[in-house]
Amino acid sequence: MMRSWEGINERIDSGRVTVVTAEEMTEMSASIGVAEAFRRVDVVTTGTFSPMCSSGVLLNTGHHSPRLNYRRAWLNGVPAYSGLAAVDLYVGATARRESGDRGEGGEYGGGHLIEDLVAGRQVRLTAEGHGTDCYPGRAVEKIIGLQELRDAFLVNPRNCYQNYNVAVNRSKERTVHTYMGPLLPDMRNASYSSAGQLSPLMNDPEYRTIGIGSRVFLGGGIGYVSFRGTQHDPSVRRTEGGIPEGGAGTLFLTGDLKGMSREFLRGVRIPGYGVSLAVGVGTAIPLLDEEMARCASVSDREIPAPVVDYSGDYPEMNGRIVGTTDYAALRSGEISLLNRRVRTVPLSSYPMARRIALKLRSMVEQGLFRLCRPSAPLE
Amino acid sequence: MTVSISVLLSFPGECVGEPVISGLVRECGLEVNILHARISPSEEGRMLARLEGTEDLMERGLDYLSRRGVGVTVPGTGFIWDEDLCVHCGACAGICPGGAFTVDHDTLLVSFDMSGCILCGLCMEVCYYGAVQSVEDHMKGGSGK
Repeated sequence: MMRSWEGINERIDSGRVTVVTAEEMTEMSASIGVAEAFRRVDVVTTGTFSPMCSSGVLLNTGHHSPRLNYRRAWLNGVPAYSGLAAVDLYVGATARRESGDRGEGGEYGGGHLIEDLVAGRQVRLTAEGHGTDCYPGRAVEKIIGLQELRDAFLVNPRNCYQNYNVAVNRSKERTVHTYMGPLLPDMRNASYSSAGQLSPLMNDPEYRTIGIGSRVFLGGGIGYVSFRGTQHDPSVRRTEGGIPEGGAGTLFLTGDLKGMSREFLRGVRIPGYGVSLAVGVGTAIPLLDEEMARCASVSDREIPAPVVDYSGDYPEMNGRIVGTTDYAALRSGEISLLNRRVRTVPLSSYPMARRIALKLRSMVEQGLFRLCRPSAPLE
Repeated sequence: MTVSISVLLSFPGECVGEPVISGLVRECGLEVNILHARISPSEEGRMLARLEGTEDLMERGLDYLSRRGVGVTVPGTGFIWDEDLCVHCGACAGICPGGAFTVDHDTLLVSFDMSGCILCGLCMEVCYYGAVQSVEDHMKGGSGK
């Protein structure tokens, strides 16, 4: 038996579609077998919620009177990139506020600005203009909110990393402060950041149904895969089941910030590292054949993760790993590493990932989220 | 004049085998009341203790600790968990040495019980969302956002 994209969309339109989350699919296949689960289910939804540093917002503020071409600009003190057309700006999630009067600058950044905008809070735009014949304005200061902005698009060059490092600190002396959180000396904790069996690219590991043009759940609204993400690397070594053994595929995602919500876009502050944005993403996978059903039934136990020493090997970039574990062990709260038991610290929120997959499931069931065939594959 | 302070002591791995606290009592003459400790061989250890003695003795005691490489910080009075800001990632529970933060096995949701707190502050550092605030910061008006 095979299913077509069109056939699945017809079932969505007629309200007869059967949708389960990736977590439910895993349980279902374990109890009734993949073949029977495939017969019953049309679509599987995934979810992930985690800091994703390669994210940002592309703004068009609308023109000023007199006209002004941004030379330099800040939003709530966070520097925006202005090397675009007159009133286009890009604010990256990890851009930090330049120190304000109270010296608290680095605590607030692009991620918080994006959260403030999507939460409907007003922000302060400060800018200097080049002062040209056609754009004579030299300075502007204005309080604006998301609704006053002409355009606000989330433009995330790398989201949804397919698998990721588990971070430990093998030094004996000091705690290291990393983007993977504080790592206590002598491997007293291990941080990890993937939704594992619920994660979008883990359920379609060969990118058969996700590609350029795919519709996704992004930050509480609708987004699209614009391209492969930066650092996308499908060639990473894989398990027999096709799961990459380390960071592999990535997605370049875009969507309209105006349809998104604060619940799924949160500014984060990482001591000793900086600021970022936690992003919620979900995908809907059509079960075109039994092979897709097998992929979408992946369990945490089948997903390996490399453990990397962030006190030496990672900053030196020597490619060494301390060992390998899997997501079932990571999510149990303790892994076994070099004959020791090490507590695990999750950075990706599994309850939020589950909430996203459930929300997307109900969107598909209600006909609010149709699937679309990619216009080109991720290569 | 007698002074009394609460201190959070962090022991580097190499001095865990030394009898630092009995030295603090015998050599410096301080009263030491250990409130909570997590120390095991060759690991960085942490201890919350109340020290009491004259100002001179206190000065000598703190100097004694720093010469042995023991980190001394004065902790706050406690933490506030703001559930509205929490995304239930569970990072706090993964790092909390006292068991104040826990994750429910079924719902995977985080909960907080101050009675298990040893005031080490690791939860504040690991919470990217600002959902854990010191009581002092909270009184001053939020996460400083």
